[in-house]
Amino acid sequence: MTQPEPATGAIYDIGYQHYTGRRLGRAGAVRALYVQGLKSAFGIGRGGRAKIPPIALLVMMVIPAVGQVLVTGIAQGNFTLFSHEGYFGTTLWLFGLFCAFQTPELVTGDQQHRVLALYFSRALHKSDYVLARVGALATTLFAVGMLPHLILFAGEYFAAPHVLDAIQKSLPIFGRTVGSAVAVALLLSMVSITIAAVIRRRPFATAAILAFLLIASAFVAPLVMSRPDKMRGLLLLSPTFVGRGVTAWAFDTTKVRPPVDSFYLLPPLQPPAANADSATIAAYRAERRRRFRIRPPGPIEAARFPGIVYLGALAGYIVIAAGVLTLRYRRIET
Amino acid sequence: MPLLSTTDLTKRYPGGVTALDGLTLELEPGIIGLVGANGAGKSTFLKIMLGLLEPTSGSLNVLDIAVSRHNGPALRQHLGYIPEFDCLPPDQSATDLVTHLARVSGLPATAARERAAEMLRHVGLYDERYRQIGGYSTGMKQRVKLAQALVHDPKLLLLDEPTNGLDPAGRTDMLDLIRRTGHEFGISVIVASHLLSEIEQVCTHLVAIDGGKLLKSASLESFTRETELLVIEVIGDSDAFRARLVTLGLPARTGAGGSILITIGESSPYDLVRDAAAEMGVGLLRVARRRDRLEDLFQVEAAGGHA
Repeated sequence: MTQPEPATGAIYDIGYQHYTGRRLGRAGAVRALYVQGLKSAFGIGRGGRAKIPPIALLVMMVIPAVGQVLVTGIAQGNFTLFSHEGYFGTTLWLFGLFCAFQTPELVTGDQQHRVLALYFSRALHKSDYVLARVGALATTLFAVGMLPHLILFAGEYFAAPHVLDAIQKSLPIFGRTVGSAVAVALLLSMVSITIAAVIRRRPFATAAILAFLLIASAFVAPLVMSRPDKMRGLLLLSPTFVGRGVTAWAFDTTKVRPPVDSFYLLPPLQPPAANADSATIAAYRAERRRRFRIRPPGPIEAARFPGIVYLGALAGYIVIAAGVLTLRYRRIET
Repeated sequence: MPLLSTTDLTKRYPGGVTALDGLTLELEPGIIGLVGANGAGKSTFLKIMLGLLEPTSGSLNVLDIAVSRHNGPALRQHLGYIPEFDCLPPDQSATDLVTHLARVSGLPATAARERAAEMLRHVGLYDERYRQIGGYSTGMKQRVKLAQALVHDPKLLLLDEPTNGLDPAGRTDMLDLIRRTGHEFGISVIVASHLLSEIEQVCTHLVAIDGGKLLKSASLESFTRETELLVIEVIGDSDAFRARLVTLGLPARTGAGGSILITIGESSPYDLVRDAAAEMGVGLLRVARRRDRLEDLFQVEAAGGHA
């Protein structure tokens, strides 16, 4: 063990100094943990390799928006590939990957290396730590979610003949975008942090978040599509569909509106009576075939839940996650 | 103002294990050694002091603040803590970690940076402070833990087995740092350890607990007097010699290998031993002072307590 060299000590050693300056207390603690959480969500301060996944995912997230802006600029017309209301649905899997890879950066290391013991022995409550970490991830997801929309807005304004008019016209859409981004960020961050807090090992935490956010929705979607009347409740078991539902509600697209033809907007098809004539039976069969071919565009449209159901489910997820987090961190040994 | 006072402090874990059993004591500022065998309740006691564990019953005041879960942050602002286990992230440099932890303790950014550098210099890590902690030796990690516990200038430092896993040189350095913290920095220290021989080198006061019960709380001098042994080996009739010593009023008992053990009390037994040996004509092969092993001490103390 190396002692400080006497010579160095003679020059610099002015003895121990007591600290008499300002103390920021719990607010300072929460801010420090929040800022550090934001940084680690983007791999800052964790070495070069940690930056690759978040940056790559962020780039992939904005590629459709950049493409749309270029198309709008070149084609000079209403040629919409990616719109504000559909963007979350399109980039859902990227959100899932981002949560799966980056959430453990915020909470797993603190548990695995037992740094929590050093945090919890300081001037803060355990809930302050949890709040700071959830806040950091939610902020990150909000920023990541809003960036492509900002690019889209910028593209719209540049392409518009009157910029001020375009801005004014886009304000309601802007509000809906921000609202749905906040809801999705809160939901996904609470769910992801909870999973990562409960599962100690990083690879398992990543796998579990992936499973719950993406694989679950892949299972739920076809079931809901096949029997929307019976199975639509399953949709609420997938947080990503709840997020999509809230987004759809914000943009008022939970139901398919005319002119889109939909199976679910038609009156129920009554089978003909046993003694019906052949023309009626043929018409019934033709209609049945036609209806079989018409599919709703997605599980959200198929389920036809009113927006309040998704909002309630979102609140439910947040309450359950908060409860699990409270129990989890109360039990953590320090 | 006492540094710490407890009244009938008891902690029972849900499993039925009693970690602390009716602890009542009062401590003045200084360097306090908390000694006890593994599982004696030392770590539990420290965590209750930090407000991280709620006692089952009884009360505890630290720095004149009644400890409870509610006022934990207000209290912990003045406490520094070193857990006994490894608790450092390997992928950060010591500077980054200690600065960050200073900010979590509520220090503004500039002060956090300055004090982090200052503390790392105090613990002798100034030259290595930009290296990743993962590459540090156990001794260096222990110093980082000490630096992070001091960075917010606490009034009381709680150390849980700070010399665990250190080599002899590392132990000496760590003990020296603890001594400096207590005497030069003016910060009270409570050191939990199962190695009496180590912490007696730095402590001014000792608290011995066993099975969650208080065995003794006393200044180091009185502790030393009662735990130091005189080991005597003789050529000749050892039993008769021991019996003679007992009649002379010395608490002599038989030790391992036919040796005779005398607890050194208030008065010096040397003259009596010498005179008895001369009188009986036995040869004194060995007369040596020895410290009872901690386990022996506890057995003696516990027996004394029950008597």
